[in-house]
Amino acid sequence: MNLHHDPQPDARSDADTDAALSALLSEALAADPMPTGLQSRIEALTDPSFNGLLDEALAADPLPVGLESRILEAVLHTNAPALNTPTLNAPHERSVLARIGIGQRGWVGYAAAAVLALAAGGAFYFAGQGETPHNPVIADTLVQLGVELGALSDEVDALHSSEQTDTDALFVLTDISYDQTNNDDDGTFWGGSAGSFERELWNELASEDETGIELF
Amino acid sequence: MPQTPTSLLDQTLAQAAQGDQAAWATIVGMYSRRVFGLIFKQCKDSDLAEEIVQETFVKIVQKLIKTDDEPGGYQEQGKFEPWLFRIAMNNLRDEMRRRSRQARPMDMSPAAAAGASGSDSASGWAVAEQQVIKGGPSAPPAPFDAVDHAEKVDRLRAAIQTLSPADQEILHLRHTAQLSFAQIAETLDQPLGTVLARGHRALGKLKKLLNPAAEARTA
Repeated sequence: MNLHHDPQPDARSDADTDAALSALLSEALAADPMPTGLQSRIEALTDPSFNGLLDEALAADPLPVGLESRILEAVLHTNAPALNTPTLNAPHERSVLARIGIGQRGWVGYAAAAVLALAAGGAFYFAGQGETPHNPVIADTLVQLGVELGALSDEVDALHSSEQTDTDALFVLTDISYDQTNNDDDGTFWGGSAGSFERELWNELASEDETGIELF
Repeated sequence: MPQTPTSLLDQTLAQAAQGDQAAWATIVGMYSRRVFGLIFKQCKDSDLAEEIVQETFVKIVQKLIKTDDEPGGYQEQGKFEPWLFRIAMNNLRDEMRRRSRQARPMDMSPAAAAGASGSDSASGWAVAEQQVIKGGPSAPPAPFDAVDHAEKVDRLRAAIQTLSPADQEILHLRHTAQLSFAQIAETLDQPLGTVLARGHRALGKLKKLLNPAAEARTA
């Protein structure tokens, strides 16, 4: 009986179909692996066109958008132990979170709240202590600024000292001149005996002719 | 049925076992739609099907990757597809069992929703016939062979929904996952003869549902 070329199940009685199926099942059970063509011969008992309809009716549904990439991501996370850090994208972890009723967004929210609380606490602490936050960058900048201000102050002091010295020197000179100018009565302006000589010479020149005046 | 050439599949699996990401992308591309389709047909829940599919591939990776501590749990013997679909089906069963323990019964079929324990029961069979036959019992449906193609497909889908979960499982493995009967036997860990008989019985029930008048004539 060639069942493969005679697929007319509706024309058969149930007894004929059952007998044909039993024979094929016996053949299948007696052989390992499955004989070539046995499957198509068994399906032909029903009707090839009917099987075509079944293929169409039961065709796999299209994958949801992005599912293939999500599967691949999960696979690669599992595949690479070095990259297998805990992640909420991993399906097993996500399902665990879902089972305890905490979603991914919940964890992110808790983490953000914790960071904000720490930042606020730190700010209140420093404000209460009245101290400058010990930031190394800020500290270095302040130290450098202090050095520069110190150097500038030294330069100002040096300049002031120099000006003071010059002024003092000028005052000294002025004082000397003033003293000398205002103390010619005691002869100090011209000096001791030499002054006397010069004074005498001056008096002689002034009295004899105008040449001495021209000298001044 | 699109069967992946064994040599190509062997080569891809060998590369994947070494951690080749491109090989994994190939495997996911080849099988994700079939696995998702099978699980979605069984549970009718897209989110659950997505979770089951991801867990299935993660388990495949864990079993296939060879490490120093644990060598690969799968040795390629031309039975990768039955192995993959068996893991998927087991994942689904585990999840359904877990949900049933939490007193959240999940309706697997309209027959189950109607309170029928199986399509073989008198009440379940009656419900199935009422759901498949359009127009109700007082208006005999047009013969199945006489309707157009699109209506045939629609009526066939409705009829499949009325079958027992076990019968649906065989049909889904055969026509959605596109496994051969030999692979289905491997997947379900049942003898090939049992699977063939189950498949044939499911098809017979379907034909009887779709064309009761013709079946009555041949009986």
